[in-house]
Amino acid sequence: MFKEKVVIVSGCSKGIGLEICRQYLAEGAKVYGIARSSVPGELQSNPNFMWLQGSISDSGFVLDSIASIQARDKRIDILVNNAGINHDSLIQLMALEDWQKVLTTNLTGTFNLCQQVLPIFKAQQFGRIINMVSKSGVVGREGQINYATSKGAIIGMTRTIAREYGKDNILCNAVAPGLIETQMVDSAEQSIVAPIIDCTSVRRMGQCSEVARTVLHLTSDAPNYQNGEVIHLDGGFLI
Amino acid sequence: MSAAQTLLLVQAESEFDQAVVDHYLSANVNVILIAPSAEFQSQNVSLPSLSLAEIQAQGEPDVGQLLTEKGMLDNGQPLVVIQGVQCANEQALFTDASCLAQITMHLDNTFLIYQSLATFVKEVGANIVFPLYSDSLSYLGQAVNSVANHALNAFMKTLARELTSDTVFINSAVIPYLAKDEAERKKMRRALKRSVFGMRPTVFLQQEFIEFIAHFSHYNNMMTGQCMTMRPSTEISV
Repeated sequence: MFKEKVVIVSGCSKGIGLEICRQYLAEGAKVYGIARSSVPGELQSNPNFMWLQGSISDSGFVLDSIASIQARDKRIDILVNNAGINHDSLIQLMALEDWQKVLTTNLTGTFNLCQQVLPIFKAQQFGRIINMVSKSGVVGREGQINYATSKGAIIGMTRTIAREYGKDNILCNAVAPGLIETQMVDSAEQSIVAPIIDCTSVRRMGQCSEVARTVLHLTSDAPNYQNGEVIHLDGGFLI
Repeated sequence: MSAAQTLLLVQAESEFDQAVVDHYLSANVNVILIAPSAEFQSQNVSLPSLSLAEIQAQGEPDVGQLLTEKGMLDNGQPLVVIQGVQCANEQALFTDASCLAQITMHLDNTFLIYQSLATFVKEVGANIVFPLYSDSLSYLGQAVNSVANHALNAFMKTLARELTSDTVFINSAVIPYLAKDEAERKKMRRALKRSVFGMRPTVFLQQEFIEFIAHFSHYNNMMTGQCMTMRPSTEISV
């Protein structure tokens, strides 16, 4: 379904981003994965995968990366803004540095990539953008005022892009995963995870593959009337 | 609304913020500006104010302590905090390099201010309201600042989860279709009639909406962490 599609995935070294890359590659796409740290050998050995090492918050790196992809492939079809970090603490204890670090990576990083691909998408009259957000950005969460604010801002950016570029056949949606089984969750205390699962109607954590499948569905060539939406992937959390 | 009240207006810069000031002053409320824009401060020189630099200069940031030291507070007065409405025009988000920088700087300052307000509001209690624009106003050709407003809404919801107590309530209120006077209201009503927003969409007077916020923030002792909407199709995101 994605044969010869050119896809960019930020934050591809593990978890949801890694699984998104796997599924696009399995469907025949050419994938450019952005990550600061190393990416797994299974991706690096795939001839359709190319690793761009750097930080999305570095606008120079993003500019050069997008220019090199465009020069090589003459098009970009899909952008998945998955990279994100968190530095949690209550507002009264949070250092300004931690607030700024999270906003710079999550918000400015997402912005940098969107800013560079949008003119390309517009010229092509085709483009799909998925912004990975979080339930925190929708309902807030204690100890995550920086993370929640950054994800809320990305939801606003998603709507701005949808509004401004929808007429150019550019669709932009956000995906808000709930509790997904990743390394980060694996290392969390059971006392934190268990109550969340108890409040999830399917009574289990989500899988990275389930998030990835949704991303592929939203970015496929199949007719899609969804634009500017936040798709909640939370197994029916608190319904 | 009681006259014996203190209003902290945070990051004021807009015409709407000026109307908030005028309304509260007419009710003899003690209005204090927290980190207003230079222009806003110059238009309201008679009002006491704290700059961001003053807040940041403290070792342990605490607005309450600063206000007390400066004699701005009348202890025991109920406290209302209203967030100023941001004016940044996001229509140039992807073409004007300074646009996102302005938004993030504004958010950085918002974080610093509420961090320094946190201890104070927990001690004395407060109703905090964030007026925000709805995305749907963009269909009237109005800049709606989606990035900043959705960011502030998530900020508000997290703040509510962290600070809410028996005496602290934090909410946002989505600014509906607003007119400054009856003539503008009639014009807007005509333009909106039988539109996608309904057969006869309500257009509020700015003064009515500010009175609602003033009334709500004085009497609210239950609602927190909520985004209030005045009419259908002007939710923050439709």
